Amino acid sequence: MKALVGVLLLLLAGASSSPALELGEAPPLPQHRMAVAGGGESSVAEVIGDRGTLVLFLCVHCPWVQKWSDRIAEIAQVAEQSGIGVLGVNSNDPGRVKQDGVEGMLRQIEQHRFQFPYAVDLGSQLARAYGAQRTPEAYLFDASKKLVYRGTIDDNAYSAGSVRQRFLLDAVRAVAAGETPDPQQTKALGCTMKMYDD
Amino acid sequence: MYRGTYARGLALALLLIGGCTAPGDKPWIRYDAIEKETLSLSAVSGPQLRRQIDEAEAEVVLLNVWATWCVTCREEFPDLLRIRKEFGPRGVAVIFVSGDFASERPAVLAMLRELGVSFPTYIKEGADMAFIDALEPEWSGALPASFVFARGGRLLDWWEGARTYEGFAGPLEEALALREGAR
Repeated sequence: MKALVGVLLLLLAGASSSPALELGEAPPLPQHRMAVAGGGESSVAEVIGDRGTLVLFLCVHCPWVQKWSDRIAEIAQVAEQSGIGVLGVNSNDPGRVKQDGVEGMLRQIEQHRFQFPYAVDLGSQLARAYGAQRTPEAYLFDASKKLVYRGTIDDNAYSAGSVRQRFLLDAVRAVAAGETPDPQQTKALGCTMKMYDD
Repeated sequence: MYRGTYARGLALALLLIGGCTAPGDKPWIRYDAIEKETLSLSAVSGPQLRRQIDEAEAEVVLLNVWATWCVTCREEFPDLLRIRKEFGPRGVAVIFVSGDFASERPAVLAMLRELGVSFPTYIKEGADMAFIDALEPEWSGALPASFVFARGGRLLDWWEGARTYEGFAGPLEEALALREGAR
């Protein structure tokens, strides 16, 4: 019996995280409309670009997001100038982290000069559909709407001057050129999403 | 007394920085040994940490990665300290690794003192990807994150997000039972 429990434990090891969107998959819930901080509504379908689409899961309170925000704004600008549509999404429940409310988002937009629509994912529906677990996390789709990059911004959140690998910027440039990014998946420490309860 | 504590702390720090144990040394993860130590914060990379877990003398290792700014990390900390106190004598080593930026070192130490920590702890150094992959490649990097290792370094369970005392105790009881069953 104990051996059986052991086998089950081994099989279950690592099964506690929800599945993330796989490379090659299309953006889920493309028509899901969300309120945009500052007014209006948007959806992934509305921002799809000729060359691709970049969905960024962000929030306000997370130090990693704060450290990367200027670089995120710059990369988003490069993406949009290259024909890649950009949508920022905040899936955190401000009832859990007050800073992550719309007022905080508006300050973030102004401070870091976000030029892309920054949407409020009420109910964390989009985050759940993507299997997104932390902030910041980028999902980059190519022109045929296939996920070709999932992961972090670069290899040094703390210091822009010390970055060696510009993962997301390189991926954006590759997609804009019709190429497959390399690497296609990256990771970094970040904040657990503070999602709305089911 | 002070000199002895300092020497032990320094030895532990050097052990981690070196990433290896001298022949005959006791691995650093041992409840009864570290209980006599005072608070410290040593830099550790993922591969160094992994090597120490693999060589640990504890029956089970519970590793918690946290950060000062992380509200849910702070919320689960008292339960983790209770877990350490209650499961330590049963052979469970509870290891805390801060994921804060190196510049936040003073804030990390201040918070550990505030939380009542009086034993060696660690702060991540090196590339995030290498740190994550050394522990569990499926881990997204989200904090807090906890990992349960069997003796020898086999990963039995892990999860992202905060838990309560019961949420930690359950997997540890299972890990200890697994150890008993193997004897």
